[in-house]
Amino acid sequence: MILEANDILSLEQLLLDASDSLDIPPSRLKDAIAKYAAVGSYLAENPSELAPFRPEIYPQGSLAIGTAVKPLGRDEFDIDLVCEMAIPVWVSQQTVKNLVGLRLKDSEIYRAMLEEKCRCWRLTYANAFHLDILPAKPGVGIPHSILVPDRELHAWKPSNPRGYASWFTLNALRSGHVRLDAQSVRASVEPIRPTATRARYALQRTVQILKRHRDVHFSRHKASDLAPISVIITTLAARAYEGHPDVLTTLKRLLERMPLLVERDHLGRALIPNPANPGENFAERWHSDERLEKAFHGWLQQARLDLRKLETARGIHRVAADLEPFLGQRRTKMVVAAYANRLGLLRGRGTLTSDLTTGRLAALSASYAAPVRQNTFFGD
Amino acid sequence: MIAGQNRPLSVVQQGAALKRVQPHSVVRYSGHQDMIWKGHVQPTPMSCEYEVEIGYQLKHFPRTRVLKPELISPEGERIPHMYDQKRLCLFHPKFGDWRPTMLIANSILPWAALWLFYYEVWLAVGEWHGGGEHPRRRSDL
Repeated sequence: MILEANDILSLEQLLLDASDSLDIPPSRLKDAIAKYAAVGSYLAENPSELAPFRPEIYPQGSLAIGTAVKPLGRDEFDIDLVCEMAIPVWVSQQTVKNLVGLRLKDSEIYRAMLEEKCRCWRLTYANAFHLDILPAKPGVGIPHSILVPDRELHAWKPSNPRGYASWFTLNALRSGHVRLDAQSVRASVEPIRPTATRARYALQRTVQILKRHRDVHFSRHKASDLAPISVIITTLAARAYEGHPDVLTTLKRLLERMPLLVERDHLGRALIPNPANPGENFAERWHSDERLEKAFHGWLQQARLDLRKLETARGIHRVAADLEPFLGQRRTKMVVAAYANRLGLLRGRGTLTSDLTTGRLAALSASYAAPVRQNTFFGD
Repeated sequence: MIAGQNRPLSVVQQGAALKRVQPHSVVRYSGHQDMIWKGHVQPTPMSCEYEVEIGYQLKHFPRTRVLKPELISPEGERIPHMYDQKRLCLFHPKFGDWRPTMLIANSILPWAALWLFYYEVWLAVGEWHGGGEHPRRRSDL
């Protein structure tokens, strides 16, 4: 489950542990998949009025690309789902949304968990996750693209979560150290139906750490409304990624390169195009509020400073203090504890070694190393 | 390497072994009964590098101190697993963790590294993750 760095006591290991602690726990992920599959079945089976439209539920957003991050101060993960249906052209967005709502309200259980949002329906599983279900229909032109209601429920907007997930995954796989398994190769050729996943690759883990740093940073400045949206971070990160296998180098390089990848449109306004959906500009909201672009660059600059401090800190206690801007105080303590407990496991198994020349601790196989014998710390 | 596991190692043998693993370290002997060794320990790439001193007198337990950098403690709290906040408690005298037939170089020294690792973690999270016991809290057992 937890990836191990070459040196399990290095800063790299600490960052791997950090991303792992931010990610959706495997048991909760399994549960979420089972729950949304159940919702999908419920929407599709008779006597659902949606049955003729053959609804299909699949994840979009962070869970589809393995970059989910625990929200600050909350227990529930936000799980974004598409409910794609073969809706006839004469059915309006409002009607589609209502039909989904009506079917869900038909179930006592779902009705109790249900909340209406402007475009989607939210099912809340307390202390676990929110399932946000967005009705959609197949798009035109680009294969696997979809049409989703806009915020006012007046028009259908093109979107392409499957295409985005494929594009992101292709970028995440860009590395000499990763085997391309059959599933990944297929993803590079044709967008498959995404399943919800945890982070596996350096790019995903680095995005998790960036998102969390953003959450902590803007929360501390009490300016959460200025925080850059996750899809901007994810898109620029994927474009900036150079294929490094480790999180530390990836983080350093992304923080340097991301600000340079914001383009300008023909009117000189900020442009971050959706690689899977031409015409969609993720930086659109920056046009109407100039604080947003400034906040984005200011945040990245702070992150660069924070990373430099983290890299040069000496003493695990100082490293921990410099990790706080990335994780928050409470989570930093959890991650350092997990990092320390790994050493305890080795000690218990008798596979902890020490390089006597430097005192450096390591898992068995360090050179000129001797196993550290069992001992019990004592004293008052 | 050292024959006769049943005989306690001499002070000179202990000092020589320490010098062998850390060639730049310093040993000072007082006759054949006593030695003081000063060397360096850095438990992880992220840890501070510490200068430690191990004193060993025949028929006594080795005594370990941290010379540099000075050990710190938040708000004057007692640092766990020390004797009088001066020497490191690296083993339980009753458990037989350490015996005079053992080389200090591959017992006390790595335990000091381990202690320093857990000490820095303690500074970071406020809890000692290295296990162990405190003699005064027998009521906890």
